Amino acid sequence: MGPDQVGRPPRLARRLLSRLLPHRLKPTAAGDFEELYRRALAKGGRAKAAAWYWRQVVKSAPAFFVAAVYWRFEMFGSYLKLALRHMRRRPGSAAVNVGGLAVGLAGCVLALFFVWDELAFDRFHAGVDRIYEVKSRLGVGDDTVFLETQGPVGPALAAEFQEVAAATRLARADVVVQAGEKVFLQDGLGADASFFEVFSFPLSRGDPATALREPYSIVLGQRAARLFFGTADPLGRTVSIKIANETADYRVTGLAAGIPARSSLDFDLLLPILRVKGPAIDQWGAVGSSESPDAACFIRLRDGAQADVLASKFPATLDKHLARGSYSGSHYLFPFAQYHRGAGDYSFSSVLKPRSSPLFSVLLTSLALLVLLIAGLNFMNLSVGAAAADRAREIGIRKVFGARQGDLLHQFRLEGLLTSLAGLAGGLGIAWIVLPAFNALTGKGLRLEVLEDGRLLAALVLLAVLLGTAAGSYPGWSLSRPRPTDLFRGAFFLGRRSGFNRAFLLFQLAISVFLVTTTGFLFRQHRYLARADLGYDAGGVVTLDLRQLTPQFQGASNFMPVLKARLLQHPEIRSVSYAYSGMSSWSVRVFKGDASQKLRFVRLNDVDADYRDALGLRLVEGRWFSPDFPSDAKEAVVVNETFARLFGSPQAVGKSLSEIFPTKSPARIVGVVRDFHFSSLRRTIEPAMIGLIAESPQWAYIRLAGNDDRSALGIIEKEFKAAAPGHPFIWSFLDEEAARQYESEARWSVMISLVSLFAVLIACAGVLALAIQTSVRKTKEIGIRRVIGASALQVVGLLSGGFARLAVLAGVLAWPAVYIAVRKVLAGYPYRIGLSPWMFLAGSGLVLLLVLATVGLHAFRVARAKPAEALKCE
Amino acid sequence: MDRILTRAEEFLLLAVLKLGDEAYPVSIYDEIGKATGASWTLGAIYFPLQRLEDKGLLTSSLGDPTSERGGKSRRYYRVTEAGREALAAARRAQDSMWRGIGWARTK
Repeated sequence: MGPDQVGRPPRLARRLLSRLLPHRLKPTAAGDFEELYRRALAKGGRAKAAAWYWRQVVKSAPAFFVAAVYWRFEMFGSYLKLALRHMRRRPGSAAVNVGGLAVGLAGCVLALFFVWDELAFDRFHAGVDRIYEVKSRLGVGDDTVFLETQGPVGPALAAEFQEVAAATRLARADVVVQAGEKVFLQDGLGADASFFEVFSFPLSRGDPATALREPYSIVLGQRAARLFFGTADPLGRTVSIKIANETADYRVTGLAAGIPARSSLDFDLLLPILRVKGPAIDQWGAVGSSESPDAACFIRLRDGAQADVLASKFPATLDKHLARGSYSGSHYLFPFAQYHRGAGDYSFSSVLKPRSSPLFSVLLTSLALLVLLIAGLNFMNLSVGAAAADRAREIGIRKVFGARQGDLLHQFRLEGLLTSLAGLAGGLGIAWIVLPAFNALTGKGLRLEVLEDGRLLAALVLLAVLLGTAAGSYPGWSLSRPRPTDLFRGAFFLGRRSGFNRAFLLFQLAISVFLVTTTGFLFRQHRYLARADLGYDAGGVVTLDLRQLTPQFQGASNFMPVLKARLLQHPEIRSVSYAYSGMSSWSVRVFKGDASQKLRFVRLNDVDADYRDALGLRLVEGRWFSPDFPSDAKEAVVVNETFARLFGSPQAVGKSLSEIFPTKSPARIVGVVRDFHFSSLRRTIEPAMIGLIAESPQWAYIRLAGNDDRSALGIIEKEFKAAAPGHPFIWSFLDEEAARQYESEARWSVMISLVSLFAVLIACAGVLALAIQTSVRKTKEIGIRRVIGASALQVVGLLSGGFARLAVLAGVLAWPAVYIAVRKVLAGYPYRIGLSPWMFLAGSGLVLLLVLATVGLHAFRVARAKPAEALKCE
Repeated sequence: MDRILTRAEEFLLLAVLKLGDEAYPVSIYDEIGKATGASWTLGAIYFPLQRLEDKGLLTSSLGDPTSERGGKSRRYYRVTEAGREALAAARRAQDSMWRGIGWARTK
């Protein structure tokens, strides 16, 4: 024990006391304790005094604790008062702060909603993680495709594997429904009786266990039930339904409760798959042959069953049945829960809705976070910057009066918290306002009521709290550190050139350049897709949807030639042609080319002889179908260049199809047309084969002769109604329809450009704040320069130079990120624009321009102020 | 005064008043201990003192640091005019409550 320790209380107890004492008591209370200790020491010796001291310290602990809690609350109240006072005193910067954060948080709210909605997709099925789709793999190596399975696979799996609780096959078909007087063409879904054991679609009427047992039973969706029966109870009633060539009465055995919007599988007419696919669905056969049709197959596993273990047992069982030879019958399980989010090789489905790209979720979330980051940095900059200048004195005084760094930090954190919570409230308001537009853009049906899920709201509040505390910590930290004397002199601001602030600004500008440039690329890609040369002439072509016209009607009324003859009487119509498949929905078959043994998708369509003229296809070799060759109907096909390249060597024209793949068709290739985009530009052009249509076209393509679309449409409608009385006239312009395929690109371009706009605006507000700060710091310098004779323009240059340099540097920093991101996005498009360096320069240039405009306007105002005023200031 | 002092507050104020210029936590602690005979914890008097000061019934000032206190200052308290009024109000309230009850005085 050192000499100065003589007569002092036990060191450990002293330490304990000093930990326990509330901050406000520290300077005096320890002295009181020590004074009493010395008295006890003088009276009764060291041991007694020490015991007394210990007892007092321990017994005082609860009282000190209560005091500490009380003062914490008192302090909070005064922090709050100060924070509100500051916000009121500088409404401008408070508005920029709250507004910026509100925009950023609104973005986060929407992104969160979007992702939440995506994640909830298909989740309404009980035990959705145990639902799998069975697919059969075809081919080897890179040429692997996953196809739907042969009909009997589903029932075989359910019968032979104990792990499979239920299996159902699914197939879609167009069905013609007659209910009373009305005839409807509807999309029907064929399923097995076990459908409701695999999927959890609740029925509002009927028993799911037995609904599909009867051979002619049908379960209706809400829309179909209303359509057929109005508001009457459909259960037990019958509808006449024609599928393929069979017409029969079906008894309604169930009414589905509303199908959630977040479902990959939906149906309006659910009927036994035997009706849709015929008895052949239960027969094993060779792949691709018409005697054993394929169907989608979904199974539900029992609890605890392992999907991969089960799949490994498939070959032993299924190979007994599958015709070997031309194909290896390996089957794989794909988790249904992941279908919508697009995980894995879940490539193709004929029954499920198209899935969303996970890219969108990622994109949206990153955008929202970037805007939030910009807004957060702004907040920091504004708090430390312009706003902090007049708080330096306040902080100095508080320090002199004994405020610790921690107290000041609390003050700033609380201000940050208040700002970000206000921002969150504003953000929710903005989200509420833009939600309808957002829904229109994303094609979703989001509502603010989602927030009733407490977790979502909690996540948002947590985000705001973290953001506010983090954003408040930096100014708190940087302002509470300097010595009070420096604060009074203002040396803090004059001495430090706020390197951090510059770094923040640089970062904000880099994000802005990134967003602006990326937006530019997305817009150009969309324009490229919408305006690309499709290889045919889509302008001035009217498409008629003939799918409501049954083959019987067409046969009886001699529809094809009648409509054509009627239309061609008019000079406004140049040519009329028919096709079996519509654009972008050409049928597909998988063929194996003889030469390479590779699997190929081949697109098929049957069209009439006027198709080439109507669409403006260009022939590169051979000839088109011609009435001069009556044998064309059976013995001729025209292929596209890709087909000729893949299968037609050395000479495509004249080659017979049976030389290319096993087929009984006697057809030969008579001509080759230039490649054209019959599907969207998101896909590479596939080999295609065009045959001559005999009857029952589903589409008509009518090329107009003049520019008067309106009167031509009137003529077409009149003639159509005359040729097909009582049938709906469904039409569109082919070029508009083609452009509509890129709607999602258009929507995303618009959305991202909006986000970029906000981001740049917020960044500019930050620039302005920093510019104000700089000009305040340089008031005197500017005044002196003006007196000596500097022109206003030179002063503007002086103030803007640094910002211009920052903006240029930000551009350079952003470019690699832009390059990587844009390349990744564009990689999804086989037909895409190049990464032109001009776009990079333009993006940077735009941001530079905005920064210069922002700073310049302010600088000009400063430069024009009278120098005498500037010199007087202090 | 809208609220009547608690007994602890009353004792503290009276102790400070009695001690005059010498009222600091140790002497207040002694004074209360003498009067009530009960042994208080030293730590328990700080918080009420602070609250009385926050309410404006007491003021305080720092003395000079002394070595017998480990180099720490004393904090001296004084009763303010408001404090005196509060004490008087407490006294009046007590008297009026006792009025008409005889046994305590005779005992």
